[in-house]
Amino acid sequence: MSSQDVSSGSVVSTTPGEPHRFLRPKLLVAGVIVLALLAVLCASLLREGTIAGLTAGPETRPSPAPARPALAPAEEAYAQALWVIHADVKHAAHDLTFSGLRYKLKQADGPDFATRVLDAARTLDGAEARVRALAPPPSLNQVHAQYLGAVQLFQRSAAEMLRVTVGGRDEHLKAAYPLSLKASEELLRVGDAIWPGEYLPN
Amino acid sequence: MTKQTRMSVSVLLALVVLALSLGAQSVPAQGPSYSVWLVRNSVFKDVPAGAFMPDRAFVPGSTSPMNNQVFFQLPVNVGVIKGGKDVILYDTGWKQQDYLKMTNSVNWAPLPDLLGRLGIQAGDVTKIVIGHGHWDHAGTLADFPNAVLYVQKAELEGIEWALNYPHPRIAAVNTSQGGCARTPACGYPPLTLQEIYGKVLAGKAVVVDGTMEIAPGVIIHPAHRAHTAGSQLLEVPTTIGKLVFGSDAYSSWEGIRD
Repeated sequence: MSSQDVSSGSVVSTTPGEPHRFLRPKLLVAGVIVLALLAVLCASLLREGTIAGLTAGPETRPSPAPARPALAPAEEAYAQALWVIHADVKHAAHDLTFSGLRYKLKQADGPDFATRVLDAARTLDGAEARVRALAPPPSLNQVHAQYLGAVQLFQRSAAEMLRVTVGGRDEHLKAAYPLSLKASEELLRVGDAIWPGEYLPN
Repeated sequence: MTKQTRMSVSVLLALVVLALSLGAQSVPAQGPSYSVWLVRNSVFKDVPAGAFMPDRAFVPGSTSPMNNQVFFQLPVNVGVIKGGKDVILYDTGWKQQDYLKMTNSVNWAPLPDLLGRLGIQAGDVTKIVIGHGHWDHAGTLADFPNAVLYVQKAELEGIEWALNYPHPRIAAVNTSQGGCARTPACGYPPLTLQEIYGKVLAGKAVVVDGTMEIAPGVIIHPAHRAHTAGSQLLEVPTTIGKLVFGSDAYSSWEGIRD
């Protein structure tokens, strides 16, 4: 027999004079290269597996959020357009709140209070017009109506607050308060529908 | 699971850190002491480790226990302090609603129910000290109609500063859709500020400017320009020494130690 059993794993020897005897060293080199590449590949896979274990283990992997259907393109476009207006509405809502706060804490007099509430009211008037100009997809008609309703509640609240400067009675602030409160809830309700994650642990 | 066990698991009366009685015999001669509990309002799941503890930010490949954790489970705790005629809350957690689900939270329970397990009714709460005014710390003020709110003047001013800052990158409201982008006031939804305002409107708020003793030995300390512009701590004397509630001013033991 001219060669040993390859399956034994030992080096194959050839009888001198065989036609392909010079190919054997080349095969050996190629085999070594292949083995080296396989070793590198295995090491890489093991490392990746270790990192994946660190980051995706049961203790560390984020829980999958409850499935929510993705917004359709038309819904997404509406959400984006309303988001821009939403920033102004939130700003105006804060302005109303701080107007009342400063007035009650005697950090602002009547004229200062009125100026600030009027500014917020103007922002809200503009926001209302911009919301009305949006054309929601049918699936978001209710959200659209909710948002418009919230802006209108803020507008009514601002108007009620302004009456303080006429009569000088805090009762108007108290009457305005539940309107703003309800409007603020509605903002969150709309946010829950189209801007999930608007507020994170803070 | 027994009813008692189920109650302890689901009701989230999470951790009684201290339950020190205020019996006459336990009152030290030098002053009053208070019973103190820590009640867990909920847990925010899988919060990135670096979000609240920068020194614990995840570093891929790190073997340091400080930096090899990607997420952690963030408890929302409320301090309950009882002594004399006072029942004082430090923070009030947040209120889960149909419009505020926070789906990545678990074990939320109404704070009045949790207090009920301690024999405290919502109407019994006399004072509320908020560590700061974020929605998940000042979110249930309206549930305690008799309580007087203590909030730092600097906290309110900090929000106003952001409201009036003349640059669009410094915004008073969250301008990044789908998540708080760390604008100065992004933790203050209009509803939360409305609740603070509601306390002022009802004559049930004290705007604190710095340090204030709100009951014998119970002292508010400012922690300004910490987690927020007007964060505040609360020092409480107990029979085993002073406890200090810190809210998010200190987010980790290392933060307190260092």
